[in-house]
Amino acid sequence: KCAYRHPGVRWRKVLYEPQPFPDNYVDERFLEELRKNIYVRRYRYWSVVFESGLVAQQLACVSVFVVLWWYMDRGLLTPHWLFGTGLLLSTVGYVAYDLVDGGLGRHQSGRTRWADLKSAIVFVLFTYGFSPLLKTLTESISTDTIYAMSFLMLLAHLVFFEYSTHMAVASSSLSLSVAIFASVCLASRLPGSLHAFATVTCAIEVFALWPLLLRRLKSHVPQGYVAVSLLVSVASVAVALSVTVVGGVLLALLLLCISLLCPYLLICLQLHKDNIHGPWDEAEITEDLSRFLR
Amino acid sequence: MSDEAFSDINGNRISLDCQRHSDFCGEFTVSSPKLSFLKVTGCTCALWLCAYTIFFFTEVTEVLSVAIMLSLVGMMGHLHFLKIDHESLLVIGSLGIQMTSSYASGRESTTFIEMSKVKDVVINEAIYMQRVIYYLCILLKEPLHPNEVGDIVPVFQSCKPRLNCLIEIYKQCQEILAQS
Amino acid sequence: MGKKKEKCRKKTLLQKTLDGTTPTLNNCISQKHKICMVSDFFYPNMGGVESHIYQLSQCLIERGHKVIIVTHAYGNRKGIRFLTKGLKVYYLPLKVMYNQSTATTIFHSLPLLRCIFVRECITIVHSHSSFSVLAHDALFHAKTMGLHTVFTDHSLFGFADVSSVLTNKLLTVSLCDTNHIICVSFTSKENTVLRGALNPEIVSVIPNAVDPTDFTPDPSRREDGKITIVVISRLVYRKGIDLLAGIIPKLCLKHPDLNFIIGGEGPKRLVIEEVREKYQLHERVRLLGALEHREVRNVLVQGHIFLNTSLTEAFCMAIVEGASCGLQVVSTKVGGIPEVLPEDLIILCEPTVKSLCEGLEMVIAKERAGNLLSPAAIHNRVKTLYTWRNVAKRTEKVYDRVAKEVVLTIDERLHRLMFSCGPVAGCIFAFLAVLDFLLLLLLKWLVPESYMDRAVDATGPHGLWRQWSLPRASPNGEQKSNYHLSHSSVELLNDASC
Repeated sequence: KCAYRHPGVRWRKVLYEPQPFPDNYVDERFLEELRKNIYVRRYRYWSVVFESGLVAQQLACVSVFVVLWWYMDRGLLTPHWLFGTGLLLSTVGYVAYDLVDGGLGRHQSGRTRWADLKSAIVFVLFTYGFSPLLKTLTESISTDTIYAMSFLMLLAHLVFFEYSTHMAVASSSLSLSVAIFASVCLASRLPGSLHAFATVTCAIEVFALWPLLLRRLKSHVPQGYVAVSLLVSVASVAVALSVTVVGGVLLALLLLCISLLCPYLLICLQLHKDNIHGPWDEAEITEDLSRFLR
Repeated sequence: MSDEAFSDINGNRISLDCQRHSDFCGEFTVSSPKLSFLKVTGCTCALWLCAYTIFFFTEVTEVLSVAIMLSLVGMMGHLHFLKIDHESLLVIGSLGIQMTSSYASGRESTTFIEMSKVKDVVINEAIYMQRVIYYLCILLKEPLHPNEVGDIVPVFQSCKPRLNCLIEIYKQCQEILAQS
Repeated sequence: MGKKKEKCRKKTLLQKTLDGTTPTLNNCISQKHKICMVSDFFYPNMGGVESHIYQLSQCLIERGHKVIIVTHAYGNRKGIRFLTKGLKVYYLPLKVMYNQSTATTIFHSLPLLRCIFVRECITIVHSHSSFSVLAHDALFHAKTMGLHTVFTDHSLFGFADVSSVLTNKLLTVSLCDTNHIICVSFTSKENTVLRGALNPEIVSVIPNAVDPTDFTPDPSRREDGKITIVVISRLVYRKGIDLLAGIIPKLCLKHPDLNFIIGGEGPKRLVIEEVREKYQLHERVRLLGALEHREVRNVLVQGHIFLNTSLTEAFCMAIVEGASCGLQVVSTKVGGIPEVLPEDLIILCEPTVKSLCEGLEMVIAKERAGNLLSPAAIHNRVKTLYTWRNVAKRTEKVYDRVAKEVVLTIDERLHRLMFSCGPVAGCIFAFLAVLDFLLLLLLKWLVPESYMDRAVDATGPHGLWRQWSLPRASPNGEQKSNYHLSHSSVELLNDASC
């Protein structure tokens, strides 16, 4: 390197003027603009746990739904009871949904209670009317196929669920539709059409309405969110234990792993991050340019 | 007049026979090697062995007769349609160019191009299979624009002589073309 | 007495060569190379890499080297063609996979490339562009055949996403045993050294060039009483067209005498059109669509300001072309752009709408006050900065250096692959290198080199092009000129043998 040192002439990082250095000259300032890990975020353990709670939460919801279906399949749970409880809890949740943010969200969206009631009635009537059809819909398909399909669909629901707003693969509509599809599949294997009706309404409550309430709780009343999440997780483990002990224990371990161990791993692995940045990086457009179009 | 030995692009020996009948007329014949007896025997034996193996396991005698028929028909087909014994290029200055391919069975196919359609005879390069080779070709005039080059007709397509042989032919062709 | 004199002369000569200080002597010694340029990108495709290869080849031919180009077939254009000065181009019949890049099985191009390297007696294989699969294939085979290799990288890559991690790995493998690498700017060199985990000593920086005679200013073509901003780039995300879509309405609303001319085509054209629609700027923002190379100058001279909004750029020939036409250049400060033009010829801005607008407004104010440099002055400054002759001279030095190096033997190459490319990729590619070597042995047995005719030279030290001018060089189609050349070259052979 030093062989090319010209006294008094300092190498400059420019192409437009001829310099007394060979083309493959390497200066001391080579790579001086190299930066490492400039965008690394420092995570706090409990805030990661708080955020990852939603994953455990959704898993718990899915397992509760499956256990309820199993109860109905075995005749341990009557559809009337399920529908009644569901209705009651939905009403409580509906009131809570407005109370949590003091009616601000409703005011902004401008949607009336009458409209809500209308859509609820339409939905219930339609589901009730079509439930005999659901019963016979999948008769020609073998039960094993139905179970396998439901499993895959519920898995897809978990994968595509919108856990946070800036996820690449998330699609709330897709995750909701596959969950409803799974519930229809499962409902078609129940003994009566009323059973099917109760299961599908239950699925709507668990997969569509509950996450809405939960998200609002999370943003407005974090303590309430933590309490409700814990309650649902414990309840899911409890009902799972009532079906099989092994399943219940596994579910409990899985929930613990997702909400406590995975955040810990994330924070540990941050130390091994080795990101290189420099002038060659593609510049990112940080401004919101859509305002020029709309 | 002269009979020289050259090789084709695969390293086989070929011979070039240049006959100048007059200043305006020349015939160039490139002969490829005869069908080797060893190759024919090898192919036939391989076919028969295959047939016999099948016969051994299936015990269907028709396989053997079909194999014999196939080898005979294949041999004849090869000699009649594929194996070209020699190719010749007859250039008559005032008249035109005639290309003849003689098959091993004696069949001949001939193409004649009038001199009024011929623009030139040149050596060109082309990508052939997984190689790049030189070949001799006749450039035809574009029917509507006589100064432009239209189609090209390659000659010695089956023998594929190497560059030194092509140059030999090319030189004499040019002499004839220049005089007419 | 005579003997002594001779001895004396010998001694001085020896001393001279030993010193190596006399540059003229060095230049005399500089040998002539037989270079094969390989890239997927060549005419009729248009772009920076294409013109780089063409211009560099022409200048190298001028300097007495033999140059041929290998690329893949473009539609009907396949086989062997000759361009100006007898530059021979092989358009190989390979399948195009994506973005004009060929599909690869690594091995299938070996027979043809070997045939070309052998018949053209190639000594140096020079590949271009890291996006080109054919270029990497050729490097791989050339190393197997024991030829010297040079690689020119024309683009920048990030390190963050999965696709760049994979391509960077491939680049590491491809470059770890390449003799020398050329980058177009210092930023590009830093980037390539990091991506390929290379020794920076084997990476040279040789910028691109612009033909100054093609880009001359003509202030009379400017519209009086208006200020025109010219943008010429492909309309894609990487060129920052979204930023442009933010700048246009902001400035147009503020300055009623401002016009935009936008040349180029791409998916982001829609964004520009939407903006134009929304703000009713149809008369002030002209979209010209794709431009041919010769039209670019006529568009450039209509403007006062050249705007470049790229988000990443290794060298950016466009700003040099703009400056050469006498325009004041405003550009984003990304990649190698700060190295390209002196500070007084370019206004560098951050890649944001706000910063670019500020830069542009400053230039507009200067233009109104008449404080900008005159187009002729800018052109005179720029025209000597980047010339292809200079590029060729510096590339030649790289070739001279490379020719002195020894090519790794197969066992050294395997060692290098296994120990510098990581345990997994290294082993895989070492295995592939062995397969390639075996395939080469098979080919050598099937088609020995003695069966291949050596190609008639068109360029190079003893090239036929210099001795024989084309009888009828048809200007519209070089398609046909190859016959004439073959024709004339063979005639020449006759003359030589007679």
